[in-house]
Amino acid sequence: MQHLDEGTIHSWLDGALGAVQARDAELHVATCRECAERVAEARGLIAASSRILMALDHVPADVVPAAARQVAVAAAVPMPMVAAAAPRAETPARRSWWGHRYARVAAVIALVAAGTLVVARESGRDAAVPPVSQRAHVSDSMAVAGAPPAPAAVPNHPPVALGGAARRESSAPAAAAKSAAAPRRDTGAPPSAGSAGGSVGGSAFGTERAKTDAMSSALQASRANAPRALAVKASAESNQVVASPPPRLVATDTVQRGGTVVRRETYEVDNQHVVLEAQLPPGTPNEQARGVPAPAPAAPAAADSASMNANMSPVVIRVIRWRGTDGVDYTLSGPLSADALQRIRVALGKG
Amino acid sequence: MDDAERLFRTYHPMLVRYLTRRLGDRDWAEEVAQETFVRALRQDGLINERAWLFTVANNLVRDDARRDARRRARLELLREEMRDEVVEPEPLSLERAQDAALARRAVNALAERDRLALLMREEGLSYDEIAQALQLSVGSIGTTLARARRRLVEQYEALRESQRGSTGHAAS
Repeated sequence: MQHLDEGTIHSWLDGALGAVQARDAELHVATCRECAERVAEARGLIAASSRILMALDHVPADVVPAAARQVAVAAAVPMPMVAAAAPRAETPARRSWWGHRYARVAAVIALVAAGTLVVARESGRDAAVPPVSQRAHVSDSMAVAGAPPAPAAVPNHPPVALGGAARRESSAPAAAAKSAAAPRRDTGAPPSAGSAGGSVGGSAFGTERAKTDAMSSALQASRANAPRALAVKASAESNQVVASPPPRLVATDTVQRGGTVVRRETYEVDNQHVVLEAQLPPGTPNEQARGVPAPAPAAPAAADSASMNANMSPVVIRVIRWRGTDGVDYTLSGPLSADALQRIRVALGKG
Repeated sequence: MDDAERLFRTYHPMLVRYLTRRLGDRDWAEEVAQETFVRALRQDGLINERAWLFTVANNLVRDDARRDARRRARLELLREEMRDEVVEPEPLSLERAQDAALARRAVNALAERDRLALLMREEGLSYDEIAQALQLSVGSIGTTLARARRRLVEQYEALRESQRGSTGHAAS
């Protein structure tokens, strides 16, 4: 069979191929490493584009707040965002507040005042209290000792395709993942860290911030040697620590995909964004947490890299999937290594 | 629940999100969405409601929708009733605003057909529905989406790199 073209791969992952075509694609990908890599790359592109589009939900109209605490936040909106809005008729009821000149001035004052207060408090802090990053590092070490990462679980959970209705429309993407996973084993990629024992679980959402703080330990400790790790110099010269900030929740939204509600959370880690998607199929029983290794990313010299813009380096988005102890199917994707994603998974405490 | 209310409750959130992403303005998006539903109320026996709504919304954006005050008022009332059910975006932080601006620039760099196909797919429209809304052949949707996704990601990453470079340059 001829190699699959990119359009066919995306159609397959989106569940848009007919049964016969889907089966042919599945059979081909199962035996063609090149196409398996392209399938993995396509999965990454689907996840990444979904993440980018999600950022579009945050638009100027929604930063017009009623509460005073939101004034400073509104003032932080950069002008390009406002300028990006296409011209249209104003809606006085919603625009009048922000449109008032004095409100803008007040917003700026509030922002400056808030910043000043933070600086003043920090400068007046007792020298015996370690910096935040130091304290986080210490607590992280303790948490890691208590919850060592488990080895990667067997990839027996049927993966689902990313984006749109692919999750529910076809079983073909599952085969794609199986096929795509094969090259990863061939290349001897290191096993990924699995779930962190019983230290995770609970409700899927609602306490992301608290969980992020509490679970940041494993992430920070494991990233101590990462190239992009943030070096934090302690107050004492001899007590230098290296830490990485915990995953920071920057966006959440919920999308309806057919009959399935998918909750998406975007986290920022080391200036990279990763997206956590969670869906709870109706009637799915809780199962033991199990990890699913990411499909192999396209090699740097992927066959189709020639089609990319010569001035742009290929973007490799990796995806991991698992079913949490709460029975929720999770997908975590981002431009990081599979191991890094697994560490973030542990840090997020999603089971 | 009458048919109009069912239609509104089923499709209004996704249509507003789609239009918001497309237009970059929530107010405008809601205006167009309302106009779309106003027109839907005038129609009898829609065969493919979702494809029809997105098609009309696309046309309205193109033609700059006009208003129908009376029916709009009713839809506004429905929207108010649904307000608690609709997931509202959180307030913008600086980082999120920057991310949104980058995403906007990357999306705007796409060809219109690619952009619309991608945005509709993100809302769960099938290939058939996208093809119907954009008046394309179903067979071309996979290629369109593949091209759109790749270009979007490449453009976004290029913009991020550019931003980092300029930030680093300014810092030094």
